[in-house]
Amino acid sequence: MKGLLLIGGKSSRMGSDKSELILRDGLTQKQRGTALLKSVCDEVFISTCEDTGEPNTIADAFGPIGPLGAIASAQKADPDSAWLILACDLPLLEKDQLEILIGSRSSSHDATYFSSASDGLPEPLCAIWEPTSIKAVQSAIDKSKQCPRSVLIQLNGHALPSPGLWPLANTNTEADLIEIRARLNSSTTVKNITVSYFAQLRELTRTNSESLQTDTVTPAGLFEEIRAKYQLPLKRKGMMVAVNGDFTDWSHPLSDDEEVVFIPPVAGG
Amino acid sequence: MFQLTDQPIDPRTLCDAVRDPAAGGFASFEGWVRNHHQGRDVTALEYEAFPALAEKEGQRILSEIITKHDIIAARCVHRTGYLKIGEIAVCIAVSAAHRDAAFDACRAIIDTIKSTVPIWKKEHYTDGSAGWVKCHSCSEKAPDHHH
Repeated sequence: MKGLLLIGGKSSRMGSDKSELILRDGLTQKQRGTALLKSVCDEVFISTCEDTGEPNTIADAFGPIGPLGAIASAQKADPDSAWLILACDLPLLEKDQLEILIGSRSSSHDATYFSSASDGLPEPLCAIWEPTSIKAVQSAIDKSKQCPRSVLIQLNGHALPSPGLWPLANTNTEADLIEIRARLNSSTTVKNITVSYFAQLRELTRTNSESLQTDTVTPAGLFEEIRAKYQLPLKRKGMMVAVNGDFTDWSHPLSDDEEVVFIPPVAGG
Repeated sequence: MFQLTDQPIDPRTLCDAVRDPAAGGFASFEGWVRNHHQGRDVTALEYEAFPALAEKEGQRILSEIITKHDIIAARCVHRTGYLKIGEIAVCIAVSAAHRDAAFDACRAIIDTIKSTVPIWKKEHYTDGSAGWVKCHSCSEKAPDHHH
């Protein structure tokens, strides 16, 4: 099996290239991802936007259309191999999880993947894409439907149970990064937090308010826990958060006994 | 200046509240419950607020707009609960020495309230179904929310 590391473009949300971030072992995310893949794959390639001419890189053959284009480019480079696709921004992912993925691989399926902790849907960027997935990948690109997760949903995939919330947590935002760093430094403590729910969140959770214990350090992390608990079909993007009765940032440092309200898109007037 | 209420809104009360001898212009806006949305027949609306923060944020918006525009007074009342077609969901009243400031401030108040005040709207349709309304412009503004 071959491995492909996705290093993304410039991250618009982080304002810097997340593949160059150093979060653990003194390695950049790119270096750490490469090492992880090398520990379980025969050959490892890095996905790049442009053809750099460097060895072990695969340039996007379908333009800047994101991860599905990178997957298709790898499949074009070697259509007979299965590809272990891995995003570089999963700092809490361990070799163990990749071994589980490979150990559970089923070549009678088009793909083997973990289910997401938050919504049970396929996790496409830590997954094995078999040669039999090529047709669906191509057809999605032809239709300009470039969501790799949607492609996996349509395929005959082998879904593994979620490895939990954190192994597949990515570093998309500043708050994600704070949450992940706290976990890497083992600087998380258990806090009692009251969460109140309004509108669709109140209906989805079937509760007005609850007290819970969490070791998350930001409202962002807490929301991910709650999303997983209730399998909420809502993402943080577009939502706001209030702590102790006023708006705050998703990266606010949570303290014991704080009151948190997650605010889905508002619609007054 | 900003209030939530679960009772029918009387616009005259708001108008009287901004009345001032120095005011030469008055502008108001009323948001009414409409019987259709995006091609679907609506029978009623239900508004829900996070009261403490809605009032705090509403108050903050009015104060900011009074500072920014040359106006004398501004009031806003937003309804919560179950509303029938034609009822007033929100009412804004602004008085100013001159009309431009009154119009501008009134417009700015409703636009800002719709995008940041934690109030949600559930539509009930003729087929018996219901759904929370998504406001797309506010989700774009949300990440920029800082005070």
